Amino acid sequence: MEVLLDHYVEAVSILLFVIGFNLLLFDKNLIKKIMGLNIMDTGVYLFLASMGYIEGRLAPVFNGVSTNPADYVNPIPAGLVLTGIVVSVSVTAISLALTVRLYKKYHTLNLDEVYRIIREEEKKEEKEERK
Amino acid sequence: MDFVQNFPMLSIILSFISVVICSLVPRKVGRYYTMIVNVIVCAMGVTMIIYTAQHGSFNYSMGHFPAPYDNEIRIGILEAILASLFPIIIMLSILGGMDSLEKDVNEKKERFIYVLLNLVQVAIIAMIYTNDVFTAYVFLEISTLASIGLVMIKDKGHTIAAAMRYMIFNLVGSGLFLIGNVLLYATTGYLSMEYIKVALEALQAAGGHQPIITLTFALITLGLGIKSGLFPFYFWMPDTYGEATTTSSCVVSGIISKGYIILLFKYMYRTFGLDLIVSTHMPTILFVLGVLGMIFGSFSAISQKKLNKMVAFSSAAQIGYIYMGLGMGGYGLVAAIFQVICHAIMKPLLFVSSASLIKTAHGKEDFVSLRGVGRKNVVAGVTFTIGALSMVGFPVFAGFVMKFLFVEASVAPTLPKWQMILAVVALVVSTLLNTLYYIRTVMTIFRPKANNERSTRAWPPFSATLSMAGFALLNFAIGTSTAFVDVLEQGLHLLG
Repeated sequence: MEVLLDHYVEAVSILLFVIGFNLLLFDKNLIKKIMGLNIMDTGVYLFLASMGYIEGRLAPVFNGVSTNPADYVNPIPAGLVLTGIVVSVSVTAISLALTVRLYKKYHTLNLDEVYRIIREEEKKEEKEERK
Repeated sequence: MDFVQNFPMLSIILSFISVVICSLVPRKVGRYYTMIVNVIVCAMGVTMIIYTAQHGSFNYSMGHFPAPYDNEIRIGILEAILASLFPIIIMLSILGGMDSLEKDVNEKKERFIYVLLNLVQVAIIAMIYTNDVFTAYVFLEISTLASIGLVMIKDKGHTIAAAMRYMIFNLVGSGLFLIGNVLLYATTGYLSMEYIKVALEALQAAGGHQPIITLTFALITLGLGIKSGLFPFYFWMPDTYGEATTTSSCVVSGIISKGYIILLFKYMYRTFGLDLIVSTHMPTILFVLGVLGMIFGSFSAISQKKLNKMVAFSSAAQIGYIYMGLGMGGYGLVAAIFQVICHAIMKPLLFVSSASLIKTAHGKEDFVSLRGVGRKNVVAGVTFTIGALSMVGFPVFAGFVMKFLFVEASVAPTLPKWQMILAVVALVVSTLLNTLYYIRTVMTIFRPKANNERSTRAWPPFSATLSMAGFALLNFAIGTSTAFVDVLEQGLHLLG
């Protein structure tokens, strides 16, 4: 328990990652899947950001206060989080676009339903070919 | 520094600029422009092969700071070979898919496929050259986005559903890969592959860090495995490859899935180091999953009723070979990297020629309608046969060398007995199954018509002929060249 309290940021980020991962993989609703993707990524970014922060140090922007590098926090994790956010925004955008397309064709957001409709269409095609 | 050392960087930048240019120019200009860029990038890759053969491998710094702070790319002979081969495969895929593009894709949208193909080229070359784990992640996501676009560009219901399934698997894989990379950074404090390796070795020597090393490598391997179609995560494969337009299925199956595997090679050799990998027991798991993929992939391919889906499902078995080689270690790694190249050439050849055969059969994909089409469309029939023979492992084609290398790797004395037996059994069973369904297909397409009618010849368009001939020639060249395997082996050693 004490370990969890000491590392509560890590614990929360792993929890977020697992929640998001489960939603992305096992939920049938496409919008919830995309939400899951974003929650999962948030977990990773929280983990990264918490690693980069050291209490009592300055933001890594040089403004004449101190020339000692040990007074500043590490800027790389923040840079990584920023890059990661850009990536996840573009991935979210393309997933939403794909979802809109799929909804227009099949009028449902349930992925199982979509596959069921496709299978039925394929069976119909086969029957027509036999005739 | 020689000027030539800028070429890898220039090839990435040239492809990036081409992405923008292709989104602005008309489709026909974009098409030929993309092919010219492919050739230029290939030429730069060939220059790098010659340069690295003379001067050895080198690191190219992208900024002004010394190594651990900087983003670097690393150029060795293996990377140069891959970076010169993949653009040519993209070019031949464009040529081969040209006439189906007009049928499958809206004329107004056709130029976007060239945007996406350039993006694939950027991503693949950056993934091959990169020396930085976070750059690897960014370009992995770029290639994911580009490949989803390539699949969904044929705007049919089935294709969009296939793209959706492909995307979900890919995102799961990317998530695992990202958290693996972040853990790697958290434990070592570096992003540069070489520095991570040194730090991990120190941690291993200090003791007590085995769980985190195992977890990190497992997450990265699992992520890349899901993305490239490792057993049991290959069920997106037949829909994705089978439903997309020809160019897309060639590029997605031939190149993009290979990009992830090459990244895995880089992690094994450069980031973790082969000794550390063995201590995580992941190779054994990869070996077993690879063997299962070889056998179950072939069974799934046999049960398909449509030609395109059968060709698509056989990819699952071929990817299984690669993972079996990765799991065996030693000479198995050489066999695996050879199979990466071999499959990148064989699969587009099969897709292009089967698309041409299907066109001759008036768009029918089932085997009954395909009876005798090889007699009408002789060119595609012959090239499909070449691809099929190569898959089966007929001498003088690349597939034969691949199977030979795997046999050689599986009888190596360093391998445990059970792995040796399992590998040989899997090779024999999978070759038999391959023979069963490919030779069955070849016999179907060359079967004479019952009523002795003289079939009229149907010639594929010049572009498709050129593409099929190109792929077949590459296949033959790799299958007959004896030095190629030695160069690959040498390149792999230099990777570490």
